[in-house]
Amino acid sequence: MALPEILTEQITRLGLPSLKIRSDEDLVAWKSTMGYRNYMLFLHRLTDSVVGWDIPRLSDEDPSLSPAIRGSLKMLERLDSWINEIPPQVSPQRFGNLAFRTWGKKLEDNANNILKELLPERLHVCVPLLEPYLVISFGSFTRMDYGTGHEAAFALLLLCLSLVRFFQPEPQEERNLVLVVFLRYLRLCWRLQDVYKLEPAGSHGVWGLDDSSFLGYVFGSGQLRERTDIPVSSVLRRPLPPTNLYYLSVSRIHEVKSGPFHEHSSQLYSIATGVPNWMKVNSGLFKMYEAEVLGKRVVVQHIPVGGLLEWDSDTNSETKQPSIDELKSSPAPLRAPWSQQSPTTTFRLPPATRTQAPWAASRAAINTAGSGLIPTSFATNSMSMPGTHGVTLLSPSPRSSQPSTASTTGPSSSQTSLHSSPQLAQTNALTFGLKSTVEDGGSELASSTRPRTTQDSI
Amino acid sequence: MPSDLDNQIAQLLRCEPISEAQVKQLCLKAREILIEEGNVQVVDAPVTLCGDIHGQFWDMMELFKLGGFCPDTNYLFMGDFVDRGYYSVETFLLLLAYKVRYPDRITLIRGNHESRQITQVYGFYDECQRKYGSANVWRYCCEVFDYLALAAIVDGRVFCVHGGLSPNLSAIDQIRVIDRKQEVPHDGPMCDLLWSDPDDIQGWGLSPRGAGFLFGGDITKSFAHNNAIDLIARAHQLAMEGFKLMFDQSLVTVWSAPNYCYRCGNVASILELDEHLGQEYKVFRHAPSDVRSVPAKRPPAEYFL
Repeated sequence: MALPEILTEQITRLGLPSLKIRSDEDLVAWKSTMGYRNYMLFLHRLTDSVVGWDIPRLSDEDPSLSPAIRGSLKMLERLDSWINEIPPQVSPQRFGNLAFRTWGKKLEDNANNILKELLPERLHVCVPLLEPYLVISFGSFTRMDYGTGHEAAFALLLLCLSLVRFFQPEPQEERNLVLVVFLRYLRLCWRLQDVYKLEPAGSHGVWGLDDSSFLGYVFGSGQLRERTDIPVSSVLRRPLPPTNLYYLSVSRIHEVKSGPFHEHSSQLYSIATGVPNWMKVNSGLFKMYEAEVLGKRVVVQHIPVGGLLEWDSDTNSETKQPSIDELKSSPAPLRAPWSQQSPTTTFRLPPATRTQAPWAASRAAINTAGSGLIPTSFATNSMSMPGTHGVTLLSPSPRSSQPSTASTTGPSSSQTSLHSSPQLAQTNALTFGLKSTVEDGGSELASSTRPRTTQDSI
Repeated sequence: MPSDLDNQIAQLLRCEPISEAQVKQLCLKAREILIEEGNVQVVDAPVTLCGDIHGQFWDMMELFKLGGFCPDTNYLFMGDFVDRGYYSVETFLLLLAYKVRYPDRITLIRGNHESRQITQVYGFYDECQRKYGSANVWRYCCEVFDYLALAAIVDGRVFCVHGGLSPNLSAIDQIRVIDRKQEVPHDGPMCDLLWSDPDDIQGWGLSPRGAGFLFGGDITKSFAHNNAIDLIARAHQLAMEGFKLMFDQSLVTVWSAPNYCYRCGNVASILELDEHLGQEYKVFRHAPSDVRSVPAKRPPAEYFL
């Protein structure tokens, strides 16, 4: 099926992408949008384009690569070179390295120019629609983690660039998107994870497919889909030849993990020992991707939709963003929707593979306007956190930072100050929300307390 | 002649799960014992304190080899027995069987992962499904989680908790009145005890975890002073060296999962408190691969059928 084209003259009428997936209902609505259908179509087209192909050995300047592919490689190369310019801090760090925040700031500051350098002038009008995806493609600069949500953001960027025909949706170009550009992206992400010690976002431990990636397995199993001469169990051999993205992804696991493969990668082991052929692996991974990544609100709620990723559901019309034309006539500077929440300074470094509260993400859904709700009486002992635009945040208890008086007050009154009225409880939640919204991408958190269906339990 | 329970312990020590019916019985007995314990369980020294295990069964065997097996050594495990690792079922059931067999020799307090909501996200639910074919064992275990003590105090001087302090609790006695037999709430004092982290700040701060709080050295010292304790021992955070002392040694983080998630490269530790509450930290590494069980043949997820 052909990939739709979005014409330049249509682009100025599009709203900016924004965070629209907040509830499970939104998630259902999203799955019926044109944007979602285009993404799945795009992933299937990319997969089809690599069936039977090995990863080529080409230089970045190989003449068989289109200027768009070469430009993308140059962009990724530039981002990679920033890692050399921004070495990890040598001071003791609990796990993730704070220098990743500096790298992230540089990306946020330069994203606009990077995209302008990448694109021909006729497509510069798309830049505000693409920037949101580029800046969340490499991890969360606040939590210093990386997961499948970030990976999806990069794939969506490639989709958007194909919809506007920067990339041509024909087999050779799509194959190079997978085997050249996406691979280069993966290598950059792996280097970021290694140098800055990024933790896996929302890892399910041994019970997930991979701590942080998914699409490499989808595309890689696509490459092998018709190879009946290569058994699925071949992934258990070592070393694996770097011929496809599935092998490369498994080799990456061997690089970063120690211990028996059947333990630390039980899903991949079950696939290797129990799925009869690559066709089944590929179709299963597509189903699993839709259920476990795109079907998890806690992952996709961090991904902006709308803009080139058409949100044609009318359930969220109140969240419609102004179009570029409308914004041009407005005095306010054009900002990415999350830019107000991006960290401006360093703050507390999260410990390694730290557990996040599942409900933190849902609190994040009621964000942004919360500052005005914080009662002034709570602002006295407040602290300013990055990403809140100087909003004073609720201190847990005004007295509790003064131990001498805290001990004279009973627990019940202390508790009252936090939880007595719905409004204050709401304020507390909003305060969390302000912090939580700086998260982006891949934190795979529980969406609710509902018992899982069998489909959830993989 | 060994009892059924002794047989179950022997089986679990080989990392072999017991039957679903046995789990049900064990959990019932455990609840009868745990319901008699206080929210802040009183423990006598000497005792060995342990931090997060997260289903790393063979690494827990390294812990017992170093610290002594139950009941030769008294143990206090500070929560997070389950999730992420491959053997959460065997790990938790062994600890629970020890608890039922030697109730005065081992104390288990609740971690933030001993929760229905968290275990559905981070692996224990999936593990029970895959090992037993249903969620029954997960359900029995979650019912036990609700009965676990929230904290412990050793000889009145060492306060042990999984996460840390709460702005809603200035006295240990205030913990004793919490109705703990419930799922871990999203906020409030019970939540904070299981979720908070110490930090190099003054006063209280927001936690990047989205639950609990950050608390500073001033908070820690005033809590210790007001409650006449020498040390707060807690777990909940990976420490590359296995433990981390903070705030002029008034607080320690003990971490007992070596090479966490097979990739972090950290060592683990246990803290031995002798009869005078003298502290000795013992550090251990992850188990060599060859002591582990053989791979179990399990069918792939239903997506691939």
